[in-house]
Amino acid sequence: MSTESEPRRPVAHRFRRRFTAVVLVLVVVAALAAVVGSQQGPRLKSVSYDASGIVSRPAQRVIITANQALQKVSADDVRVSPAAAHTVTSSGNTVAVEFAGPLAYDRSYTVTVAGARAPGQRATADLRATIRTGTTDVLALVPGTDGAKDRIVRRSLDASGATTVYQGTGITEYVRLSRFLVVLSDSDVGDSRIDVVTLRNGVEDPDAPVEHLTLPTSEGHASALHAADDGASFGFQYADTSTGQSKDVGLYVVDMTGTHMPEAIAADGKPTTGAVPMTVSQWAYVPRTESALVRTATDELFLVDMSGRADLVRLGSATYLHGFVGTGTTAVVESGTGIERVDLTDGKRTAIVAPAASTDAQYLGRIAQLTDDTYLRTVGDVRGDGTIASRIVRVDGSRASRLPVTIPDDASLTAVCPSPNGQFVAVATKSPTGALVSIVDATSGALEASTVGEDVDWCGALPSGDEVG
Amino acid sequence: MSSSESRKPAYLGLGSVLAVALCTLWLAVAGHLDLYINPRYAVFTIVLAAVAVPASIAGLVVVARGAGHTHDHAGPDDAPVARPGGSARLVRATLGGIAAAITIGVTVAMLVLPPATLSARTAQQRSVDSATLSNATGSGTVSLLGSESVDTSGYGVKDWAALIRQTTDTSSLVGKRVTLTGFVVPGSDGSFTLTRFVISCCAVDAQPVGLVVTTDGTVPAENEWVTVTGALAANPDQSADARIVIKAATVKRVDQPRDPYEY
Repeated sequence: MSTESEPRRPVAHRFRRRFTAVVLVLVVVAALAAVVGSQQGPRLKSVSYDASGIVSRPAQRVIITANQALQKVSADDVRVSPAAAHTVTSSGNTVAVEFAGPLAYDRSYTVTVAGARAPGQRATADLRATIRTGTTDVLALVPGTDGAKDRIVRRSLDASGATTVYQGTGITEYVRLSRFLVVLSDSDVGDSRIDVVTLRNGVEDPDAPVEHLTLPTSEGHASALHAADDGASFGFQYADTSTGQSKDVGLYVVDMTGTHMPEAIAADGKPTTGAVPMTVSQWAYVPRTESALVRTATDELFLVDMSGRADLVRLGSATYLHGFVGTGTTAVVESGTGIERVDLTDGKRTAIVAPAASTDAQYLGRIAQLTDDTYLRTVGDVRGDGTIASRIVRVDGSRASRLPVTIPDDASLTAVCPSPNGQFVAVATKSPTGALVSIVDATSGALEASTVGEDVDWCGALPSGDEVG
Repeated sequence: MSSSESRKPAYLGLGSVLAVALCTLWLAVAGHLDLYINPRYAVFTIVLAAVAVPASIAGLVVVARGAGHTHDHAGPDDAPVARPGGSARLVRATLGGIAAAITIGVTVAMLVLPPATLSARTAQQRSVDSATLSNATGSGTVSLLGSESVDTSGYGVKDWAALIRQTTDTSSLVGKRVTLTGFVVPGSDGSFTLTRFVISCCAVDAQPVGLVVTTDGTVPAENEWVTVTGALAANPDQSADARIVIKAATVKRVDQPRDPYEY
């Protein structure tokens, strides 16, 4: 009213006016900021993934970090293109997208979190991350010649040369177990030794001591080494030879989350120290699980939980284990009635489709199933000198075609092992001049890389034991 | 007009500051300050409290001597025209009374009640299971992927939880040996969540962070402090959000640590 015209306003009054003005300005600024803030959804802050791990191992995660905490994200909110099976967990400002199986090599994937929202806010936003997968590398065993040590080498598919991961004497088998390499070696008289080697940047960690495992008996022979995908345990077949004869031959497990002492898998399927082990003709871990598929000496088929939590599951009988479908929970087994796929979640069996062109040979070998309706099969004809001239047949649904891979006349095919993502296949051959592993495209047969050596790590996923069939 | 009436707000304000500052110093001397604030701010808080004590005493002395002498225009005494009417005075007195009661109540509570930590109940209210802790609160970059040689002996519940949350390959953590202390928030069959509160600034912003523990033995009672020794393993419950759990070899009951929080 009249206060403006007064020449000297009281100081208190002036202060109060200024104070009010400042508060008002601040309120307006804050309100504007709040409005702008509430209109903006969360933004992508960072994406982390392991480009080579994501193509070579199942259950790998892409971690998407937002700039603020997020309301819980469900699996339906996350789209992956090209499509890949995945699960989603979220906490705080991170969303973890876990892929069931390994992704394809050298390819871009887009992961979109649709409608991401901060708790208590209305605004939503799509978080879109593009990841580029890498290529893989393979491990191969190169036997030492002229007294040199045996080497386990790593061969990258997009670079030449190979790096030595570990070397030792008498190495017969090895398996990759998360950040470890489990190495099985035999002495000159056939006594086995198992070492757990810590890896760092893909090679033996020079700072970490090699753990030398105590085996069940003072003398014995181990074979058929396999490891669980989740890194929790590994197992092997073991024969006690301390009395000069093989006895108590069967399956043993080493729990990496426990004491690291081998325990026998008893006849009831539970790890039991000192028990008589379950007999094994062939076995392997089911991909992504801690369970093993075991064919016993009497051709019974069992699903054994190597951690001992679940009970033994009897799955009928089988005369041969071919392998698994990709990195899934379906096994391919041979029984008296033919070759069948066994769904290990419910035990159902379905016969595989075997076009005539895939079976018109004298020798029918192992099936390596790549996807639900694609597999490779090794077939061969007996040469005049009794050796087998092998070829690889690719079956797509009801169509069979020859995978154009040339195997030299003097060489014999020792193994055909698909890569974890089923895109490539390792073809191991043996000839008088030595052993060779060729990595070829599983669809076109094109050669990607080759390395001197045998026993590729991709083959570790296939059931092993006494090979018949 | 009475000058003692007009100085009441000044007494109340300065008195509150003095009381809170004294309480803070007492908590610091008794070693309980870290139950309320992050130790990172302890020195800052103590220094400010130490400054506040003489300053507020000096202020009280000045007010008591009479406020009229120095500032002719600013003093409330000089505005008798602005004195509110009866009902307004009543409202003001009531508000002042409530403020005084709250201040006195809080101060007395701080002095009388023993300093207490946040409990399992608070942890559940603040949803320990969903581990809402953001990276912003977490320890930033915890990187030891694939390397055994990184020293994890100093890792607390918060660090392991952050690592599990951030790692792209959970199998690389399986088999890692851990020994961790925390309190128990009960979970489903044979499991519980080993929990600690993480404080960024002070107790009000405390966020629970936990790791699921599976054990073959009995699950300890809620709120009990335990030291768990074991190894990290994949969660047997594959549908759970927590992909990695501690498979306990031993679960030992312990006293609550002197400093129950992580920072």
